[in-house]
Amino acid sequence: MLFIIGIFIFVGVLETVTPYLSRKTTVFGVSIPEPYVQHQQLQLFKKHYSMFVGSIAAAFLLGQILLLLTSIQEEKFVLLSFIFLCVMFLLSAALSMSYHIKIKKLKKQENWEAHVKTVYVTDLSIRDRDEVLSPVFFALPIIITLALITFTYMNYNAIPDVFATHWNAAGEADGWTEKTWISVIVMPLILLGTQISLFIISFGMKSAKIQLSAQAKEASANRELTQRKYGSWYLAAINYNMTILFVVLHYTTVILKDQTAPYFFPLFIVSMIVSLGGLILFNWKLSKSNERFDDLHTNETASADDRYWKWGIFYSNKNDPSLLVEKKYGIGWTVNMANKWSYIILLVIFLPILLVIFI
Amino acid sequence: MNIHLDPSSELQLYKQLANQLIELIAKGELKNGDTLPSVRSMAADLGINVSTVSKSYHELEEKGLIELKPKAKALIIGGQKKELQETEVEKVENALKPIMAEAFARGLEKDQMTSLFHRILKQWK
Repeated sequence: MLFIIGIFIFVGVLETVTPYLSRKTTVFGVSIPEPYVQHQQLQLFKKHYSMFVGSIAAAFLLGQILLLLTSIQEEKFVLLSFIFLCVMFLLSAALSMSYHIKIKKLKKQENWEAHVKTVYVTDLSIRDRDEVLSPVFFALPIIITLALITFTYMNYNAIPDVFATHWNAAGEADGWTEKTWISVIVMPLILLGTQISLFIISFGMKSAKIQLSAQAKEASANRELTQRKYGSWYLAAINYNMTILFVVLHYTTVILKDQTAPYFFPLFIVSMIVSLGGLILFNWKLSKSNERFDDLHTNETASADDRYWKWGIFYSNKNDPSLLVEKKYGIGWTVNMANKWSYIILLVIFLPILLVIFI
Repeated sequence: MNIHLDPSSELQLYKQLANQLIELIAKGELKNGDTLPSVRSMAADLGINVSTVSKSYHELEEKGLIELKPKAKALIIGGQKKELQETEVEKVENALKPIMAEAFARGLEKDQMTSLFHRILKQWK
């Protein structure tokens, strides 16, 4: 239960600081012309959001701790924590949406566009300095999984007719599945789906556009390069992490015919810590590299791509050849809906889930 | 190797891009054998239309400064020191003459013009 509280604290802190993690030129998904980056109202909006989301998270946390003091069942506690988490997500999403609208209004009211001069800028050497991980790193886990599937079929006869597929926290099996040609490779298939989409994503990361700012060109280049480099490292870490977890689990259940897996839960915790720790590290690197815009001396601003965004969330730009684009709100990437590959990614990610539900 | 395009300038965007690329070649920052970003990724990074970038690249190709091949990146072939053909020198002279004539007609001294010439040439080494 402490583990669940740990995750809750982590998500709460992350939600609270999100407005400060984005680039300074986008606030709640709205592009801010560079001369207005220091606008007081924007700082206030960010502050209010953080205070509000922070207090909700704190209140929920307090609620959870109080629940712990009562003699509540573990299952109920997990369910309640999950509900708290969902409510927190919904509230912060609604809040950021309302600020998105407010900032758009402010932008129009004060007629920012008319007071700035839009220019188009780039640096031809930026692509040479780009350190996004090569897709090779994302191809390797796929090979491992294919080998695992082959290995499973080679040993098909030795697999017991009924094998364990679910465990409790102590590592004792409490769920079993009947052996068929499909059921023995369900787990590697789910893994394969995720790995393939990460593989496609790795190409998208490399070709995603790099937007520099007009007045803090070197700083914005630094930030973009940092986000691309460590973002791809993080995805690779998640990928390998997941691969190890799935391979160990599959090997234990199907090949070793082990009914108990005492080491699995600790392994799962370690993998969670690696994922969350990696995310903290990534965020820390990003926040350190953010542009400052301390000395603005002209009214120039780099061109914004707001017209290709819907609510600052969905991006669709036929002019952009890339599959991925940096998210406008928060950190990470999102797909370019004008690129048909994005539907393949979504399909590959959701296919295993659909299969599990309908088969 | 910065590119900075100003839409409020009277010079068209594609022309500005072509001029700045030519200048980078003249300065030696873009060397013979270097490649340019693909038309689409250049357009995405800059935030301008694909057709604008394509128009610039084609102009550079016409001038013999880059080589465009389908499915490959644009290759820089300018910037080499070589003997120019008589007709090419004549081309440069024809292009330069009206600009110099205009400056002269507007009252620029010959000395000033020469020093201006040297100043610009110095940037390219």
